[in-house]
Amino acid sequence: MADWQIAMIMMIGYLVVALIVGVMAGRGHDKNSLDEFTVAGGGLGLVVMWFLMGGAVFSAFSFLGAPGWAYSKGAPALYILTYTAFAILPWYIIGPKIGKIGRKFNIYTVAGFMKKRYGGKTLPILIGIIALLASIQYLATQMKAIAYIFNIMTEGRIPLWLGALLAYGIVVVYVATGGLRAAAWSDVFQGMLMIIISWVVGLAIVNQMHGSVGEMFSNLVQDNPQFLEIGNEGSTMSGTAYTTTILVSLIGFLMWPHLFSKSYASNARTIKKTVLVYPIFALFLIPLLFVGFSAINVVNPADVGAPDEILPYLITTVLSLPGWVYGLVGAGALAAAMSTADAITHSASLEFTDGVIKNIKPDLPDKKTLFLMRAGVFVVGALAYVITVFGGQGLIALLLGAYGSIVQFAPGVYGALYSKKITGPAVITGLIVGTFVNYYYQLIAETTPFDIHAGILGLICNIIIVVVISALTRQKSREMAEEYRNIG
Amino acid sequence: MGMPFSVFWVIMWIIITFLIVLALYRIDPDKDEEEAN
Repeated sequence: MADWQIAMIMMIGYLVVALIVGVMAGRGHDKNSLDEFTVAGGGLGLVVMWFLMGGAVFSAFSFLGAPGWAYSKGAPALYILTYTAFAILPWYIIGPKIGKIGRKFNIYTVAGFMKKRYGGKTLPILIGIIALLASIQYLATQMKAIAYIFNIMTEGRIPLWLGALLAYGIVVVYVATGGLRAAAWSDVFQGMLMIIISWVVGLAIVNQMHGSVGEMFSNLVQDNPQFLEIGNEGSTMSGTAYTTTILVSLIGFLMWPHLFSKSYASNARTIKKTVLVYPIFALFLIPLLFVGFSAINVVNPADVGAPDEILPYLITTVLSLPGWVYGLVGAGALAAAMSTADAITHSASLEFTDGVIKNIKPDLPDKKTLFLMRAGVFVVGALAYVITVFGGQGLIALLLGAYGSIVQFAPGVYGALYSKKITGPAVITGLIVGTFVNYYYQLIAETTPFDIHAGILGLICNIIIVVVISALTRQKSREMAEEYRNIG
Repeated sequence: MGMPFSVFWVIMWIIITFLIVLALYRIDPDKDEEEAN
């Protein structure tokens, strides 16, 4: 049997198992419960929560992008490791508090959290829209990776549109039927698969190319010493850019609705334990970075289409690896992309329904809301699919802008949790200005002042505006501000 | 393992952070707090 046939059978086999795990997980639980669909009844345990958070972060970017960054940029790729390990730390403190607020007021989204504290409709609608656009961008990236991996591993036999449709169709089916619980359990299966593949295949590639990890580094240091440094002459990234990129990821990470709303799905103890064991997840990325390092000076950048293609390129072209390795890497990359896509599809549908639709039609019964959320899963999926397959430049720029704007939720969230002085108009103005500043420096300006990350520049403006306008405006509900601050 | 300093440095801090959070968790007075879901 040809290598591509083995790979295709393995990848399709993986998809079938992922579908079964996802659909089975949702069985036996109340299909008509809004609480079950949104936060899995609030009772996810440690292992499931760890994989759910880990799987959501361990995306196609980690699987294909991390080796790509290591290959094209060298040491700055270590940022992926750093942020994966550290970005979750604030959750230890804010997670249990958000969870308690959510249970007290029956909240399951970021939009709902902000609405209860700051009042009004503008803020939740704004958050619902930004979350939807940003999620679609995130999903389109995952879907591109899925389509690409199918295409390359079957040597071009499965076209891009079909690969994306096949894998993402399965995600949509299990999320729409089983909600968060289905996403969580399929992430356990997908997470284990990714970890095993990353270590086995990652180290096998390094050993085949250089003999050992040590030798790989000595070869690299000998030929390109500056490649493993940050900020020094010849390095691909300045110290400020590296630091602020990590900083924006640290602040923005928990603001992503699919991670933020996990605070509602578990109790304080599980959240704290998840934070505790979470950094171990980052260690699973190490072999993938090594794969990227191992290709430096071996593979000519002109031969690879884009740096992100380095892992599949090594397997299919440089090394003569058997077909089952194609299949394993294909399944691992699919798992990485799908475990992120399920959580994001779920939360995008929730945020949009709760933030936008429920504020336009406030007296929606629970049953109808649940129906809209399930339908939303299909709509979000279809939108992301259309953008992946036919996406135009202007649309992609808009989505990228929204993607970078998630971090701008931070002043509103932290203000709600720890201050009774921050007001709704201040948060809205800060969010809008922060989003525009970020958008300008990310997509229009060619460089940023002092090489600071665009998101941090937006955040600085955002915070200043929130503080100044809060001092000039009055709190809508003083009691709610006090209550939020005093819980937990 | 023949790792360069930058790689060692990042991995070392991940392990140190893990140990610090572990220590914090052990002394956290609220860690066993039970609440109704």
